[in-house]
Amino acid sequence: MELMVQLTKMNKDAGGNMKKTKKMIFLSILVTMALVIFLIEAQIPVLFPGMKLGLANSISLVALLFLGWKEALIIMFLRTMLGSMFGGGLSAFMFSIAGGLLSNIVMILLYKYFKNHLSIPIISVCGAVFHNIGQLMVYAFILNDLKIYVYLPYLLVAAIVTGYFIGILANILKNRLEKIAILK
Amino acid sequence: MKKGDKIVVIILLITMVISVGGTLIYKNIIKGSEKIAVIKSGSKIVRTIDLNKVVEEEEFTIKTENEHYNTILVKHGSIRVNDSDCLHQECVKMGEISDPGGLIVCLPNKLMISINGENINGIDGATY
Repeated sequence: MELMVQLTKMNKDAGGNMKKTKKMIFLSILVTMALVIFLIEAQIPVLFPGMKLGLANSISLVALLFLGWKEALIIMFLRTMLGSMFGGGLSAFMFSIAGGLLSNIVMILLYKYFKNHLSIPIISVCGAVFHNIGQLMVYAFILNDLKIYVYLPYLLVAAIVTGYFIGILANILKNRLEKIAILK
Repeated sequence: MKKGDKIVVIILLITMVISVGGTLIYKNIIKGSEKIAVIKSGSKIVRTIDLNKVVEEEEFTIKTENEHYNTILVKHGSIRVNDSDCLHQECVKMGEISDPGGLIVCLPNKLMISINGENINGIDGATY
């Protein structure tokens, strides 16, 4: 009898561990996906210097919708760190982490408090806008000059377009992921 | 579209209008008959060139503290970055700028080139 109790206990523990492992693996798969997207995206030529599609951010957004805010931040942080290791160096890391952090925090807050009033693409647009504002903030700080803000109108237009697109993408990805039984 | 979306869209539109307006005001303030290119490395001004007075093309290199470089080409009325050792070459891709308010930035090398419409560093002439 005692053995049975212990066995079930062990089973429960194993179940808990299983969940943890599953989550960890899922997280690392997401980070890898984000990193690969980030690296491929860096090769795509852009219309205007400094503009980017920001496809890698869709993974962060999916993590926020699917797992939670902590996981979204972890993915963003790891992706930026690994991304700048593969190409970019320390200064690139500083630029992207500032933008990424600000945009993720904005998206997290909007999702947490206004989930029922805002659609996902709009939350993504807000994230993209704040990503650019955050990056320009770091640029202005590093160059010690506010002139760089003449780029803001261009970047805002780009942010709205790409942010909306990324939001739709993240929504589709989330719906597909929800259907996978293993992840439940 | 949900209810809150409209509010966010309106806020975004207002932000757009403010930023476009701010840029236009800045370009208007800086407008003038002259073209003074100001080259800044880090937070100090390295060189100022009056682009209207440049006759021959000139190429020169600006080095940062940690041995990175940007090669700048100055022509009559315009300025551009010709070569750089930065990763994404965005300063080179920005091409040449010729109007007051134009801006070239190389972030990894902390280089910034801007064009002013008027000479800020001193009075060239005055009439009474």
